[in-house]
Amino acid sequence: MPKLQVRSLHKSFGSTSVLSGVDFSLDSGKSLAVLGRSGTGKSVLFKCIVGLMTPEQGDVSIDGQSLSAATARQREALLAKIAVVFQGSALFDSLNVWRNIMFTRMMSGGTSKKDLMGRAESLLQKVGLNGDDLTKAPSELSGGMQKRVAIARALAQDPDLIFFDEPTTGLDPVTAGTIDDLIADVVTSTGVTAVTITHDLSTARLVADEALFLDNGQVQWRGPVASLDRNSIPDTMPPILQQFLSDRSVTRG
Amino acid sequence: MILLNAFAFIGRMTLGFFAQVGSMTRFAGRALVSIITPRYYPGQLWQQFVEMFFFSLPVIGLTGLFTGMVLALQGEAALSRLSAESAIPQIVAISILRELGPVVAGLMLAGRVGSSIAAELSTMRVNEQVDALTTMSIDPWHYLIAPRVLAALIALPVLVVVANVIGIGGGYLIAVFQLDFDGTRFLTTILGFIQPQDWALSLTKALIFGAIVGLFGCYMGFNARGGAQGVGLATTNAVVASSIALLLADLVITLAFFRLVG
Repeated sequence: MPKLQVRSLHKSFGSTSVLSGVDFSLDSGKSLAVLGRSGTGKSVLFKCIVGLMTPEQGDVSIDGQSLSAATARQREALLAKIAVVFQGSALFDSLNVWRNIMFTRMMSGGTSKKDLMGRAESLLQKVGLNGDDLTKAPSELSGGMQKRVAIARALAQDPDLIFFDEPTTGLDPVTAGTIDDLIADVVTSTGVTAVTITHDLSTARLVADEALFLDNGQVQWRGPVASLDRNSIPDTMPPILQQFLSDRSVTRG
Repeated sequence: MILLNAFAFIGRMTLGFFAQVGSMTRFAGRALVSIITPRYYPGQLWQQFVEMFFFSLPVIGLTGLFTGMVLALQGEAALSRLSAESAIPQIVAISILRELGPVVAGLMLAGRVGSSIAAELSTMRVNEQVDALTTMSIDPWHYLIAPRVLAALIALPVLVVVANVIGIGGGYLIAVFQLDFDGTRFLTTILGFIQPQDWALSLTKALIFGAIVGLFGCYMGFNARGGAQGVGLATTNAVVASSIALLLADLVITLAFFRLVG
């Protein structure tokens, strides 16, 4: 049974159709990159999957359980298996680093402050930061550090499935490379199922086993990331993907 | 052609206005549901109450004080023409209690707290923090909206009591030290003059103004779109819309009060 299954997802805004029948599935422990040019519906697809948008048609299943057929309580339990690292990190400004990381645990209660801080510190170390950063405000951190805290916050939820939405957008190339490495390391070490939304080939190659190319509201291609090589583009690839790859003449890594 | 364009413009504005009213009404309904249904976040409520009440005390105290002082001076200017200066305590008391205390405190809260709520929520919205809450299975309506609206509902009546007392105190200072009133007579006149319905009107207004400030701040902030421009627009709209709604509500409540009580 796949960890995540997306069936015939449709979403439009007014007369503009953004998703017109997206289908794919992802097995447990796999890492998938969703690639596509800007405005091709990558973020809308991600928002429909994690429950931030409601699709007009189609269904999303997690561990074989349909989100649309679930009761509110079941849906909440299913979505609790998902953690999201947002493009801009989305750390809560009013909370310091450790409270951001342990936010969901604090909300559920029952854990002492000492234990929460201890767990936050070990997660911070896992993402390459140290205990000195525990009490800092998000505004005191650089963009790369904020991203690391956001990854630690996602890990604190003990998720079965992590979504990374454009994880390196807005970061300088060096920091972007270290974040890619961190994501790859986290995915490998925890064995979590991961979906990375990106338009960056370097990120896709580093963090994922497979890639899915989205265009015109549909999945145009799916295959191993290793085959996404702009220096030897197979003729069997759809022309739109060949164009996408050849346009990426300058990329990191 | 110009006439048609003018009609089209008026039509669009009218439809836009009613669409906003409808959207705001739906928002208020959902906010009410989120206040009365679980889950509750008392820590958030307390934090918002402290922010709204405690940190608003200086500005509301000062505006109340100055309003009471000016009222006594202007009252003397008007009443001296009628040789009725002795009515200054009554004028100060009834004006502060029924009108100026709630309105001035409400407008100050709209400026200080309504703008702050709108700025905070709109920043959270445009920075995906609201989305982050949702993906963590924390309902933003219960976590963000309910505590802010409820805190405004509780804080403003308490602030209005403070504004009323300080406002009357300001009138007392001017009457005693500027207009040579006897202090004891000023206070006993006021205490004998004020009736329970004056306090009832004052606190009813405070409760409704508190709801207006909380709801408009949350509505504008929660529905903000775009980047920094969206945050700025939400903040401005929250203050302008809540101030206008507050003054309109003041008129409606006062008219209803006169019809019911006289």
